[in-house]
Amino acid sequence: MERKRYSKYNRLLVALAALIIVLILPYVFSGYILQIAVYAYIYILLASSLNLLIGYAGIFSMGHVGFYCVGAYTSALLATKLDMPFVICFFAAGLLAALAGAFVGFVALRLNDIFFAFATMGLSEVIRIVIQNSDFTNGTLGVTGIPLPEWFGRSMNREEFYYLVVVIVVIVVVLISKLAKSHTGRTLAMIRDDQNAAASLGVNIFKYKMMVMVLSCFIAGLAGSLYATFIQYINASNFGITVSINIIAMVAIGGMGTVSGPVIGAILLQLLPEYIRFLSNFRQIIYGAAIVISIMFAPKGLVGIRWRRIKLIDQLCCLFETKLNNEES
Amino acid sequence: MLRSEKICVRFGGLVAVDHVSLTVEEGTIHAIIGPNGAGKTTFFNTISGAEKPAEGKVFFRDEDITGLPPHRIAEKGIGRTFQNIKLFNSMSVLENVLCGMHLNVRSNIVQDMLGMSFQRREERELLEKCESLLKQVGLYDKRDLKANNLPYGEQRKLEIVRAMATDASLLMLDEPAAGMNPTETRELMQFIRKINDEGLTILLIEHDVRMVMTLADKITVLDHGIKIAEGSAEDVRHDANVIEAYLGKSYRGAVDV
Amino acid sequence: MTMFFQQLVNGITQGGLYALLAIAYSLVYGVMGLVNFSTGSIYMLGAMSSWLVCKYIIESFWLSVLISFGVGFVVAFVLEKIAFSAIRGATRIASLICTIGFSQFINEAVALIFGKATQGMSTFFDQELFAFLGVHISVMQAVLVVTVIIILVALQFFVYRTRIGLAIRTVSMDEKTAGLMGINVNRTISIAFSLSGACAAIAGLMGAVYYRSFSAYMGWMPGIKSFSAAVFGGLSSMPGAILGGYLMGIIENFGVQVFSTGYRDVISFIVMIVFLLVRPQGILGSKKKVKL
Repeated sequence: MERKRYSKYNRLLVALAALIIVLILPYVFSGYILQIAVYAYIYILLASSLNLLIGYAGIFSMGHVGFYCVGAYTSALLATKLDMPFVICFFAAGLLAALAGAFVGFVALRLNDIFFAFATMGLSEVIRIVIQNSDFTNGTLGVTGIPLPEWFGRSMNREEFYYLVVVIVVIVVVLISKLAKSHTGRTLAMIRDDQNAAASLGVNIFKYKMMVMVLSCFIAGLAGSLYATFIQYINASNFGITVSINIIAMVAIGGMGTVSGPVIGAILLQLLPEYIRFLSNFRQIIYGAAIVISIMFAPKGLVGIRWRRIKLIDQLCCLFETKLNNEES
Repeated sequence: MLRSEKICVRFGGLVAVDHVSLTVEEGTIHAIIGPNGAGKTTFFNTISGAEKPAEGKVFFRDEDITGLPPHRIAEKGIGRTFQNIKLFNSMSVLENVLCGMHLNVRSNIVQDMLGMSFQRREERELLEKCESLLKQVGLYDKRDLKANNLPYGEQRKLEIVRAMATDASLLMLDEPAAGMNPTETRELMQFIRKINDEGLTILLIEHDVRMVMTLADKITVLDHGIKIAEGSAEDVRHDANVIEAYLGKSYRGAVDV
Repeated sequence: MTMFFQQLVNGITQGGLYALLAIAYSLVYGVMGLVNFSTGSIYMLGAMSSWLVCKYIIESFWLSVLISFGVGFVVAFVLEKIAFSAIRGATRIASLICTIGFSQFINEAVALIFGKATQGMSTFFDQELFAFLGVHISVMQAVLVVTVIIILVALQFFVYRTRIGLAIRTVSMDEKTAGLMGINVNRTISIAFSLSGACAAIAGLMGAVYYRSFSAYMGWMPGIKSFSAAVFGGLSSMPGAILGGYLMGIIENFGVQVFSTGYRDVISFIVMIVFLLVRPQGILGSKKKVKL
């Protein structure tokens, strides 16, 4: 009981500290580092949404980048060709990606896991190649000059947009965590554990898989819109299979089927190679190795490791806790 | 309550179930027995929707449910268990029963995400219901254990409880005593008897002839997909067809319990 | 007409390559019901080892074949130990993700060592075998086609006529029963997996020779396309995988004539997706029954 109270207290403290760091970041840094941070947040959206599929429902999608790409292009084209305001671009991106997800799901969700993985991978490549070869999307040149959103009669600056991204990420992660704890989350877990048993209890498996697919793709589409708007230039060549694999790495390393796992995975894998200079050349290798190592030695990801089992960490934690306790009293 | 009319299931050239008709009366315990490969499980799967019959019809409360998918069958009020236990192993005992409540849940995905008060209240109600169910069957103390950490007999029991949680009126048990020791079997029999007394109709497949003879109100014997006998334990025991085709002469002693 | 036959010849050459890779998928799927996502990477490793042999040791086609075979065999063996044996009991998804990680690791490690750029590969059998009504067939094409056919025949012999082959087929049908009959299931899986790696690596060598190049990322597309080919022909059947491979090679080469080359890579995906929908077991495959 005592432990439990502490751990809740600790978690609150960590969340608070993280929030403060996130909020003051634009005052301390600007330019490149801010950009990396926004990428990390966007990857949190992508990893969390993919985790809905892989971690909760046991649907192994390898084509998540396709929906991200659809979202990014929808938003970019609406903003540049039709001068739509950001709000419309943003939700249209989500909706169109969700629509694409519904289509892919309808086509591929009847298949078993391996075929589904390859089918989604194939479809995401089809999306990329079609965009790359179509004049409507500017082909290989990509879309340039995507405007930042406007508010109070002027265009947002990048710091303000940073905060917008933070707000959206927090909302999405909170909603996902509520979903995970609810009956829908439990139903997805049923489907993941044993489809026959789930069906015998009255679960309409296809319906639930479709719902989670649509939701996941909607979020990926939103992420695409944020990405396109933030860097103001997109090119289909940035939406290759590698991106899908990176997202899978984040989910696997952080911890499949947990809310905090993908968040931690995304931040870690996005930031580490950026801040540790000598690592940046090895970035993709690290992703690959990290996947293998985490699956072998920490199948539940970083979140699933019982850190307290490691003696040194436990001692440090105890020290910290007693100190806090003393200060409090 | 449940009525099958001339059900036929074929796998390639093989006729697994051959024109089987049977009627399960409300409130009874109805057993299907037969040697290995008699088509019992296939017949079961046909009723529960996992298999589509080539011919024939299934009626439940006079409603045609032939060929409906499994989840629709469950909605009609038919629960089932599996020959090799299918619990949700990543979840606790309590959560497994909560899963059984699926059909009673009204909140949808959007409400779940927003965590509205209605949804939270419903979740609390479900939890209370499940806990009282677990208390009834004596698994309450183990509610937080992972399902696959339960002893074998209790895993079977939990699977039955989970199926009961769907508010099924007909429970189909596929070899519930398989792999159990005599004590566990006896306990299970009492348990099945008890839930039957509470009003659940039960259709079960069983290998343990001793158990079936004392438990079942009515027994249907299948052999090579064909119904060869039907009636009370007494009728079946003395049926020449059954003794010849299923038990064989040397097993006569096993029946006279 | 000339065009037609030229495309047919090219399609068959390329199809042989896909057939080898499709066999690699089919072998693993047969014994484990899973797919090795790093098949494409092993393909690349096969190409790399032949490239290294030709560059630093001796420009010999046959030595390259041998070395590629060995490399593919060993890498797949190790991979099986890491991604499947070591994490027995983990979920299927975990194993699949592990092979993806492995694939990423191999590709990027090679890219780091030899650079991301495409490297030239020495040419073999460059002279023209014959030209008939404008259809050109080089010695190289003939050698590739013949080699692939020899390997496929040898593999069929191995799987259908030897004890280990029998073990592989038994495990494919029913792992549990095979184990009860005294077959060493783990070893059989390991052999089938390694053999599949060897096939992929030889396909890689063929690819390097055919396209006269090698690069760290060359395995991606053939890896996915040949999976499509395997699905097309029937993943659960080896003859199906071979047929699928050849048909895919031919379809792709004709498809390029119809659509623009930009859409070249889309053709195989569309074939795969259509087949997954209409006939998921493929042309020659059979449906597996799931027992409740």
